[in-house]
Amino acid sequence: MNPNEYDQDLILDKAIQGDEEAFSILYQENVKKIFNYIYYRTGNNHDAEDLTARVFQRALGHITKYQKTNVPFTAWLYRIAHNLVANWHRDNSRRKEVPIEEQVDLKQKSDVPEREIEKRQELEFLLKAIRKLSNDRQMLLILKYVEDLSNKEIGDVMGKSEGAIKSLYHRTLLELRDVLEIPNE
Amino acid sequence: MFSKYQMNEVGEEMGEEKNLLELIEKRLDRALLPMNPEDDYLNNLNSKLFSQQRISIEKGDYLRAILLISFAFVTGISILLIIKGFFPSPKKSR
Repeated sequence: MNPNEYDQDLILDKAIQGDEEAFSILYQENVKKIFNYIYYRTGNNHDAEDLTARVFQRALGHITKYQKTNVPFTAWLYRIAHNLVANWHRDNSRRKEVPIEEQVDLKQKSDVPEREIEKRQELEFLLKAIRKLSNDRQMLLILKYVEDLSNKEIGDVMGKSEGAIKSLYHRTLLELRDVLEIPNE
Repeated sequence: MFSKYQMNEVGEEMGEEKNLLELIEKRLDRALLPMNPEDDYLNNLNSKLFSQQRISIEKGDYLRAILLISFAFVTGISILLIIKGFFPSPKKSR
């Protein structure tokens, strides 16, 4: 175990024993990852902030019961986030998504080049397509592209082998192709 | 078995699919960028998580209470018996 991993292990041990300062370090290391995951799962900043807070409140409340395994601590946080997002989707199934162009503080539309508007619409279309995928496939894409994790690291978080992740990724791209209705000719 | 022409067609289709998936990957790369939550939000959440006053409920020491009450009861009864010994109740006249 290299010194950095040893320190991480020590911090986690202290957090499990109830040391708030240690948990605070874990919070600072992981909050942006969890926020990003939830942001892309929910599609808006406000809910991402609210759910991220709930993830860490829940984690803080249960940290003394956390049992260390080969699975990284981050995976536990992602699992909590996953469950809260699933509940959020269930509770907000009729909620209308606010398109990104309405969330971002834009200048008057007439001042924004048409090409820029087109790019944003394309972006929103792609993000909506991603949100139609299954939970696991969304998580895989977010971990791969937003967090830049390797297949092995993604497998550690999701509890799957590297080979399974590669296969899942390929199937995800194929499904995305179908959702985006890109003709294969 | 497949003819050379058919094999070439399959090869072309596979090549096209590969290009298509690469195109999707490029779009994903441009779309899925790390978001940075506001520093104010992170600091406020940090404060909220770690400076909440915790209400602690003291666990009652029930054993001690039971012992105390029992001791008091026994002591009281003993005192009554002692007093009764010193001051017996008068016999009723027939």
